Amino acid sequence: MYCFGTVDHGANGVSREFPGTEASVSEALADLRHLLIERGYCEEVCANALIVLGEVLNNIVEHALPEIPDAVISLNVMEAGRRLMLETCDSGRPLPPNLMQAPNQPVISDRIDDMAEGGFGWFIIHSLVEDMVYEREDGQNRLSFSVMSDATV
Amino acid sequence: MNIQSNAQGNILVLTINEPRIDAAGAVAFKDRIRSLVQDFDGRVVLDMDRVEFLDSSGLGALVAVMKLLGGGRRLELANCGTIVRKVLALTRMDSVFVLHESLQDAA
Repeated sequence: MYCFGTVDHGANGVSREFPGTEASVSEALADLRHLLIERGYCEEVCANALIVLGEVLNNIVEHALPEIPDAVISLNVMEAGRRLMLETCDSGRPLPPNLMQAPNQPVISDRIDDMAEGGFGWFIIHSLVEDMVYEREDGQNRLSFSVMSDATV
Repeated sequence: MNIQSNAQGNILVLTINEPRIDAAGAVAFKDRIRSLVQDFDGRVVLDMDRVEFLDSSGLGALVAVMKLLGGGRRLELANCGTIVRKVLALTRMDSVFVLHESLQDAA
């Protein structure tokens, strides 16, 4: 059952808590998308934030929270100039350390049968985020990072 | 998983009536498409107009769907939105699938 926390941190912040399941992550992201659009964020920053969050949250569900039925993920989104600062927190198992390393581009082959069907997630994250920080403290995982528009102007 | 199927001669257009192809729905997506493309040996075009979000699991499902087409057929995608196009470009998969601006372009 999906429940939606609604603790707001300041006028521009968004704070949410939701169960650590794929279905709840999906709903939370759909909700966040509408909220960011409603608040008038630039389409590109929204897209980048949602793409990265999708990968980060699904990795948390897959690696930190399997077989933890009541697991909750908390998410904070804060505005800082042209950036969106994002932070996730969960009380699951430590994330595998190799997740933080920039991975190789998954195999793109001329032979369709040789093409990779996985391994895209952290490649996508590292393509869009340069400042990912992972902290493990008091039995909690905390990931913080920011996204901005692709334009360098 | 709401996907509408419409054969137009040699082209099978599958309209994805879902806002998201993501980890929560990737398996259902793949299974539904598998049943729709069975016994069809022409071009398969996915109308992505209603799809607002694609994640890496959804992308993996698209690759899996292309594999099950067989015969070297490329999966074709029309009407991709901002996030879908971005995920395809970041992973260079825009060079693997055949992309169309619209269904008219795909015809």
